[in-house]
Amino acid sequence: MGSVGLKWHAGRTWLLTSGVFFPLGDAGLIDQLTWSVGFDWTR
Amino acid sequence: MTMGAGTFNVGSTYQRSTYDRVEGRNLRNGEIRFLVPDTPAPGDQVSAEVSIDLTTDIFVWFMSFGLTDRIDVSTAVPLIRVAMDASMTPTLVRRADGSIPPGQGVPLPVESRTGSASGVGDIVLRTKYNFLKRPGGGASAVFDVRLPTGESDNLLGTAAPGGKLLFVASTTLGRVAPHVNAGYTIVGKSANPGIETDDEYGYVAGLEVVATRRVTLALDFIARTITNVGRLRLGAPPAGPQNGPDGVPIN
Repeated sequence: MGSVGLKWHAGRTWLLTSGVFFPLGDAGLIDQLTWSVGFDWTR
Repeated sequence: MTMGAGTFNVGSTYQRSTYDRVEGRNLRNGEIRFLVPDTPAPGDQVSAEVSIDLTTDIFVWFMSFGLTDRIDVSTAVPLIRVAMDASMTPTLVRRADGSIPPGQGVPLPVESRTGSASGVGDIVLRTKYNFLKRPGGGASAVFDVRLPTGESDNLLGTAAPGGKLLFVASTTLGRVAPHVNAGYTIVGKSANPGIETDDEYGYVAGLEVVATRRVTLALDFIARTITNVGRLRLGAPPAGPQNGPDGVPIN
């Protein structure tokens, strides 16, 4: 599969992420477009 | 490649998947059909159209800690919700006594089931060792242990422990940072006899591009193969035009 994502440094040590995953073949169980969002914080 | 001694990181990701196809066949429009021989009586045959709506919502909470400048330890805890709406439309297409003419079938009662489950999935413990440091990159070895903590009967886990060895490398070329990783997972036998497991291998190749001072774009190509696991195969179409001209997935 392929993925395209974006990371945004929201300030200090906060990072926001988002992305989409898309199939590049027919094998297995397939979602046409899977999306994700997330965050992380570092100290 | 590693966070540095004493650095602590915590975060979460949410991912939603609504599955459309399996092995290229539409999951929802009855395109998947199974031939069931000797049902309901020896010599009879039933063609069953299957339609499935399957959605998963996965929150993964992760924590990492830099034990030394070269070693990180981390854990990932998935919280999963699986929702499924499945129906099966069976048609009796052959009787042993030949009482069903070719091209005709006898509809049987439609079976439907709807359900959902949520809970903790398979927890992963990770150790990462940065064995090669270079300006803007380097190389690391990662070892994951997957614990069979997810309830396999409800599709929240595999009931099989796993150990994964992964090599990760990256570098920086101006505003572009290419990376690759490749790994192999040894998967134990599932405690659930209904789940088939085997070893996996895969790789990722991609790059990150610094777009602005605060924004980075990422592109990845992700490949994963599970060895020796059964696949859907196309079988011969059943007798009778009511079953359509295309092949029938079996096995």
